[in-house]
Amino acid sequence: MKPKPLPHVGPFTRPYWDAARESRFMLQRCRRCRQAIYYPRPWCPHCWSTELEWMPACGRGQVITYSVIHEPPSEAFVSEVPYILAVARLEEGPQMMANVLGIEPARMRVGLPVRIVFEERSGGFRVPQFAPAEEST
Amino acid sequence: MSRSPFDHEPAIAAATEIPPGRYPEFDALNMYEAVMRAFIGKWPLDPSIVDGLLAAPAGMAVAKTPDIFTHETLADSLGIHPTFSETLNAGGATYGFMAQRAAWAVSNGLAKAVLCIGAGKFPKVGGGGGEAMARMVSHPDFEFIYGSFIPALYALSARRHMHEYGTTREQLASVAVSSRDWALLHPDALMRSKGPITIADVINSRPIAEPFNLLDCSIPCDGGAAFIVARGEIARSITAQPAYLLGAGEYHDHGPVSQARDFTSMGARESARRAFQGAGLKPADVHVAEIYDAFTMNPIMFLEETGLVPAGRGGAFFLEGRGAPGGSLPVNTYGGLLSFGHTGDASGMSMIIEGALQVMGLGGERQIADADIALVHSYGNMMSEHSTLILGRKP
Repeated sequence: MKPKPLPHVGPFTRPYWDAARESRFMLQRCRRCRQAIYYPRPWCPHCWSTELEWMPACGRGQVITYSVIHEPPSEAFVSEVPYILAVARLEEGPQMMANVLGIEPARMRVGLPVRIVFEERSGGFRVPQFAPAEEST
Repeated sequence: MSRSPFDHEPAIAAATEIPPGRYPEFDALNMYEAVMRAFIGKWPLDPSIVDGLLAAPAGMAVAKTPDIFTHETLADSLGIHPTFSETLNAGGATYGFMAQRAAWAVSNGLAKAVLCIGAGKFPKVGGGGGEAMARMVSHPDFEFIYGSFIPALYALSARRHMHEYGTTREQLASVAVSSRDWALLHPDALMRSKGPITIADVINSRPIAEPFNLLDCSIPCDGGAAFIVARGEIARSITAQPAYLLGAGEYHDHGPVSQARDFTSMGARESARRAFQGAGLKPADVHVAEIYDAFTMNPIMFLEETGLVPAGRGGAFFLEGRGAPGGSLPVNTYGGLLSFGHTGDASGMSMIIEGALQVMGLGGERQIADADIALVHSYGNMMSEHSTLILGRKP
């Protein structure tokens, strides 16, 4: 079976993916305006400062919206369907897309609290994912 | 009374779309040639009047190396030497932006008659095409790796709209029903031969990405179209009733859809505001609306954003049949991408052609009686960049 896609690790995203390999979830923060930034990039989109720092993030957020996918977009996701594609607002402020793991599709809802977990992929990659923050019974 | 922001009364003077379908023997350039042959076969055009040419990269959705010099390839083939010409791309908004740039070029005296052309193919979704298209509109490292898929990306807006406004599954389905009813009146619409559909048909079709089922999705095919934006006096020499560009608005919101600031308002509000302001018109002045509809969600959201329907009422509007034949505000009178066909990288042409034909009075069986003012909305990427055009019968 075709493996799931991997990110390109470049000079501006390496710290993010290196931390993820150790199951740590990091966000960038602007040294000037103090806003948290996701996805990683070499400047602050709020004030255009290029002075950014990496900080450990709390890894909690809330689902803004989602879809349950029934038709797999590629061979790599055939065994995953139905799976959930969601956008959550992280507690630090930015929005992030990920799958929500470990929940029955029927229990998905807007507003669901989620926490970051890590999914292993090929080559030792760990990809940040969402999981329900409350015990899903 | 309208007051156009443009000088020299730029107007769509000619507009032709080839029948949507599959063109297996046609490569990307052949598709452009098919469009151009149909266009110059239909309209009385003297090559010497055309001094502008805008094209899209031929083969964008299917070729490994799209032609980034399509405008030069075509100008040479047509034997013209423009003073204003480029190949430009903004996804589905490409052709709306062509109309806008052409109108400004006419207004500023850079050109007198600008040919705008696009042809495209929709890759086979099952044969890796769906993945390729998802890759095209997703952030490669922070969206695509999560199995992003175009129907699911649009579903993010639908789900949020349902959450905020109580929009229902039936209301979404009613958009597909409305479009199909219009398609039955268009000789070239792909779904004309399939006959009408019901809300139940939509909801019971195969689930794709919740809340969308198969019939919530547009119909993949190949096709293309061309139009000319010319100075008023030239336009009137080509056709008795041109479609004057009264207003135009452009706006770029988010890039990757996960970064949208509001999943129920993606940027059309601002492009429409600018278009109405330029035209000196208001939403109540619009008689017919042609709105890019990759999925059933789009017409609901963009009718609301453009101000044609109050926020949160778009679903009820379609369920009540108000956008359908005989309704108070006809929407997507050619069947939309949902039932006419979605011609891949040329899809942003279809709503412009139909808006122009309605204003020109050339809508045939589906012609709206009082199509004095048309609103045409298209967007590119994941509802990221927006073009709103306002067309009218009087300059």
